[in-house]
Amino acid sequence: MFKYRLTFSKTGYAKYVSHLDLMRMFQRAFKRAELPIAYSNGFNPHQKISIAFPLPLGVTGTKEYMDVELTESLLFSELIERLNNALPTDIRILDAHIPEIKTSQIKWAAYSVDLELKHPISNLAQKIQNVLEQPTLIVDKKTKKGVAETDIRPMIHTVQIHQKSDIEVKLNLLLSCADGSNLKASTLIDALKKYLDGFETDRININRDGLFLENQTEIF
Amino acid sequence: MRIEDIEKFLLEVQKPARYIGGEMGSVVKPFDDTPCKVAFCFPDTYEIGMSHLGMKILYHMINTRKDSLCERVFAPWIDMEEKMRENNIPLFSLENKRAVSEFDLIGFTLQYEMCYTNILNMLDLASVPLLAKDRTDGPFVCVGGPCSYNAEPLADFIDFVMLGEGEEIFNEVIDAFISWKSSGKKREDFLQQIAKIPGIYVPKYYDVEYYNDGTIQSIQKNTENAADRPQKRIIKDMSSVFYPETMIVPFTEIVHDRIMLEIFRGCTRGCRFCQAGIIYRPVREKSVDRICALAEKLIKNTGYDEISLSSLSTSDYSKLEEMTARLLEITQNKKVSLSLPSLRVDNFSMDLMKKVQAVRKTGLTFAPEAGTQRLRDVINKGITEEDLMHSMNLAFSNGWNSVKLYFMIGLPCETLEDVLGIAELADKVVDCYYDSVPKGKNRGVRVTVSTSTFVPKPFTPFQWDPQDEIDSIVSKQRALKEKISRRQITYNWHESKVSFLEAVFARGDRRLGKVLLKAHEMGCKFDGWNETFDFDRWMHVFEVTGIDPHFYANRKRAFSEILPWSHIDVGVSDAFLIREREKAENAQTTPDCRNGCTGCGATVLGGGACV
Repeated sequence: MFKYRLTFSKTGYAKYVSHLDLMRMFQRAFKRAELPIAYSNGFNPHQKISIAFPLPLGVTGTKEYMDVELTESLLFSELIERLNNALPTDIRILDAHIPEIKTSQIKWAAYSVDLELKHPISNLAQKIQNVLEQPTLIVDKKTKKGVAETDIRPMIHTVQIHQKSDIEVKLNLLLSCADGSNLKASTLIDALKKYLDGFETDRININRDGLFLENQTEIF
Repeated sequence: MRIEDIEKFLLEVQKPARYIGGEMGSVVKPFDDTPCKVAFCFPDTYEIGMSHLGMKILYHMINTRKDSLCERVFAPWIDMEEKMRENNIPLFSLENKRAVSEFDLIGFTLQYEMCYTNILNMLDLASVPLLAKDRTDGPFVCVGGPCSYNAEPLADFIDFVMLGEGEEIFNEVIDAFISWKSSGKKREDFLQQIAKIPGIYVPKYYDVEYYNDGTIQSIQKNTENAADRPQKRIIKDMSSVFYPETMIVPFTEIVHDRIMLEIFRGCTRGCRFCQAGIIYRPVREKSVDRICALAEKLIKNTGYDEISLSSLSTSDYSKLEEMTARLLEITQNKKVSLSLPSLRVDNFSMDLMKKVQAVRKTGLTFAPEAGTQRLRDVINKGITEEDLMHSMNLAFSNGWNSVKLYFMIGLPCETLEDVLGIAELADKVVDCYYDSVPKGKNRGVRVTVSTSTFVPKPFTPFQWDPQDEIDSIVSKQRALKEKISRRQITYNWHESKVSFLEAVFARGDRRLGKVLLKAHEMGCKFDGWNETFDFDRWMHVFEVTGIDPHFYANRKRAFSEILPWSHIDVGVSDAFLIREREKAENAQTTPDCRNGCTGCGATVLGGGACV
């Protein structure tokens, strides 16, 4: 078996495609591309494809990872080209390499969030800063057992705030992304809504920029 | 607001992937530079509409033309509609996300009557005037599909109807549109021009007069260019006609999420209740070579792992064995499964089922339609109890232990004995299981009996018959339920109230236009859906519009009566339909017309096996 790690982007309207639908889409794309994909053994054989830390619905991603197994070795360039020809335009394969580190080693996810507020807030950046510097940030967060009040403060590594106006702001976030302590960018926005008076969003664009190891280097 | 602003609320609605487009196989062309822009509208949700074969064919066909584009439009579900109205977002197409009002032709496919209010709602969401007479510019609204053979209830709202199969006529309409557009002539001139195209029916070119008792006195054309009796179009050569070599592969799961491969059109059986069996005449098959070539391309281009053969009666394909053998060779290689729906009880082949099973085991469904031999003869179903038991025995001895049986209640000439006969037949199927399977191997059997309410349809021998009253249907369902006692049998029945409305609109006339308009104003939509269908509201609509629905559904019509669709020619003659109705009365059967022409009249269409 030949293992490959593909880097891909999911942009535009494809952000409304759920993880399950995305997986099915990739399975069909491998068939369309007639790539020698490996199948699992068993009663219901399935293609050996796995995606690390699926994107939440509504979030675009510009550097996502997918591991696949092929029964024959292929040139990276050929694999990328054939697959891209079989994919819808909003999903693109950007790169391929041989994986060295398991995706379970991923610890951090970087996000860019563009926000447009319904009503202007003066000193917006400072106020956001103040909220995030509180020792605890308790929000309702979905966990495996249901919705629970959780302190998300420890899951926030870095927040950079770029205020464009008193109604528009861009956030660059580095958030925990690991089994058991995964913080969605939208949950952080929920915290702002809870702690900041008058913070109501009219438009939110969230992009996941990349996934990183403990030491903040890229996975390879 | 701009259409892109749907992004503000897409995450708040169910299944947002319904509204995004961008699927593999979808075609996005430069919008403003294309001379003829067609919005293909399916008046139901994305999952239903995307499962419709006709749309797949016409979508890709129109998009192969350089001078035209075709984009898809579906009815937004209630939650999405609410958000769109709240934010002033018009009905839009999935490809270029353009307002439907920016298109040249808006085409609705009429697959079932209960979608009519959705058509009005979609036009309203598109800000296109509902009444054809109020449209002084902007797109033309047309319809096609099985219900358009009697589109009279929609006559007020549509500019024209395409009768019959669309592969040729749609191209002719587009050609006419492009030359009309460049001529700069008036809107009316376009309709006058296309009225000359065979198969085009422009409702306003026909005047309908009524007698005092509400029946029709006359239907007469009022312009020279219109045909006396517009005749449906057929494709004569199914092997050379356009068929898509790729299909849109949706992101989200749809009802029929697989390759649909059409093998033939029409049916020779002549079941008397079946509208499809008449309106798709004559039978025309695709060649085995063509089917196999298409299968290979479609597998390659879609990546689907299942092919489903499409026709009215798969096992009637003349070279069934050769075709399935060759198809299986293609599919098994590629880990693709093959399913054969619409198999008939009388020529059900275990050999075939086993081959199909080699890839994946599919459920078994049979449709005896009626519980007694007499009633099956009345409806000319052409299968005997022996046929059914033979098939059951085969299926059970080969490992199946679950079957579904479909029946209709409320058929003409039906007695209580016929209804209870359904229970007796189901009992015999259970007994057949225990007789077919040795004791050690029997795992128990499940027989699911489903009944639907019979709806008399235009262009069938039962087009003159009254539909059974709702109360009568309910009591028959109850009697049947009581008669079914064995735990191996499950009984499901369909709500007869929806069938009543179907019966009203299936055989309705133009006067129902005001009913539809009122129903739309009062919020009727998605009437085919349990969660949105509101029978009481409909009854209220009939009351305030002063229209008696029973006049359409439950009245026995005379053979001499002019029917709302009498001026439409589907090839099959009235004389044949009357002859068939009379034979039904005496439970006399008519053989499959493959075994000798039964003189239905479809030969005038000049195609298929008949000529």
